[in-house]
Amino acid sequence: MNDLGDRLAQVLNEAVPEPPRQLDPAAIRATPAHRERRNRGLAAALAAAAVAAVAIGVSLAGQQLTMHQQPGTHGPVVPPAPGKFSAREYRMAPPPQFETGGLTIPRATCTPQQIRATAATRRTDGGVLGVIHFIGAVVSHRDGVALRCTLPIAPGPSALIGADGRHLKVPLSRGDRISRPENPHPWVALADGQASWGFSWLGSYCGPPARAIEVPFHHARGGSLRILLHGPQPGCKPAAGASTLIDGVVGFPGQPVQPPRPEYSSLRLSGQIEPGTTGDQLAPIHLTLRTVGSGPVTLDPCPAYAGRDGGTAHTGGFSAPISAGYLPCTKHAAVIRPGYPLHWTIPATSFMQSGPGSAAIPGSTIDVELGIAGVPPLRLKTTVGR
Amino acid sequence: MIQEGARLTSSEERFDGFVRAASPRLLRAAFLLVGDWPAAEDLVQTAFEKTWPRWGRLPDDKQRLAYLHRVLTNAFLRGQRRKWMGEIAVGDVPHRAVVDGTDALVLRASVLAAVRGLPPRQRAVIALRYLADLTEAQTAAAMRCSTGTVKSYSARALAALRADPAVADLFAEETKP
Repeated sequence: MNDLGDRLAQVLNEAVPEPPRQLDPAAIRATPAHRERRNRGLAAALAAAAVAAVAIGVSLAGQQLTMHQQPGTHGPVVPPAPGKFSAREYRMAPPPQFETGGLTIPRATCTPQQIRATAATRRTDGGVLGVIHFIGAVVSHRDGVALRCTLPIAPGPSALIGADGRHLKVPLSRGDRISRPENPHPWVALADGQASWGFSWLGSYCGPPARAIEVPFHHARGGSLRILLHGPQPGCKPAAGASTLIDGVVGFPGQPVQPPRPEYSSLRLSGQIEPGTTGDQLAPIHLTLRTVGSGPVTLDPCPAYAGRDGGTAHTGGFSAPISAGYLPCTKHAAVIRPGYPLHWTIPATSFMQSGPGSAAIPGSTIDVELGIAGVPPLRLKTTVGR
Repeated sequence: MIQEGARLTSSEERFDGFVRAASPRLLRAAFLLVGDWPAAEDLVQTAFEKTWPRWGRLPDDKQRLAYLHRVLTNAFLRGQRRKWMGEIAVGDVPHRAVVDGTDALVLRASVLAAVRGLPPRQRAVIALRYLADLTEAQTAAAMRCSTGTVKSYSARALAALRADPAVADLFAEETKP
């Protein structure tokens, strides 16, 4: 291979993800065998004519039943219940970032030509979850930092588009405005020119496939962006209810982009902070997530679902935020079953100092709040060692 | 699914091991060809299903793999002839690169989109050569064409990728020291 070939091989190996599951060799072996048996049965039926019709009919019926019992190859992915937290399965929380209140440096608004976008779906219970990633062009530099144009898109997505360029008949629902993930400043992502946007497409859909998804574009030229849609789409299963497109949440890439599922309300977060918090860092926090419901609860992977943590130092009557970050979220869908809680540990976290009064001085109290979208928040307390 | 208590023959055991060993790489190549996992699984499963009845006549894993590649490539190209699966440009979203080495997702999407924009035979050569890691001769055998034809498809595909500003820019950025 030449240089470009080598480079292409490397990029493709990085770009193409690992398969989500293994094929079932037994199902593969069974398929042609059943075809052959069925053909033999039909040949025999033709040869024996009406005399043996009843006997062959029984035999064929038996074979067809067996075929229906073959496991489907494209059913919903049901991951096994994780008995124990594995560092390999869960992404660690990114470094805490101090919240500035959403201040951004003014920059130009993106034209349509300055926006690149991708949209992809993956299966979930009752349909698919989708994420649209937007990135604006770099329009200037300040202090060596590349600044991207501001994304003039909100709200959305607004519609699914068919191959003929027309809107598909999938009604839009504006999602749950109350119990949203805690994205305190979603517009910051748009202003900074890098944003992810979630959506759900649930229920039964029997129409033509969607080829793109539309997002309103707020620009002098008006109009909308249509982004090619990759990935699975809901199947035609009338029992699953009417098809609905539900808009999600805006966030930076990696932040939660989906409203929580209603069943998350049966989850409970508990935990404790290890002793040993100092003025520089918060000691590790051990967390447990369990369900108090009777059925399993599936956690969607990032960035569909995530949690946040934040700490406040109290000293001498003054309070100041000291850190904020995101709890680990699953890279793959995970199931929490009754009696099988998830355990994980947030490693020691360095405090971000934002100025006088914000440091965790010895003897001060620190309140830590950990929240997962849709789950009652957990409040923990510790004292900074002297 | 195997019935409880049923015993596998040695041939079935070897086939099962072969499926487990060969399928991850084949699935990734198929994903590059067709663009989503359900379709990729269909393609690879079809290839294995067609290989199993001939299992006993294929003397070793090398020939089985070669046969599998040929069936998979044929199934993909036949599917392309039967049904138009090309993407349509439905919006005003440009394919111009914004160089950002930290955004692996954009890189991934750009490269995959560029490869998927190639004609089916060129795409098959890219998937077999650069992802399944086949030699030119093996690729030619899988596609039932000459090595010269493989070279020609490969050259045209690479030229098309070079000409794609998104991919060209990303490659240029990646090769910078």
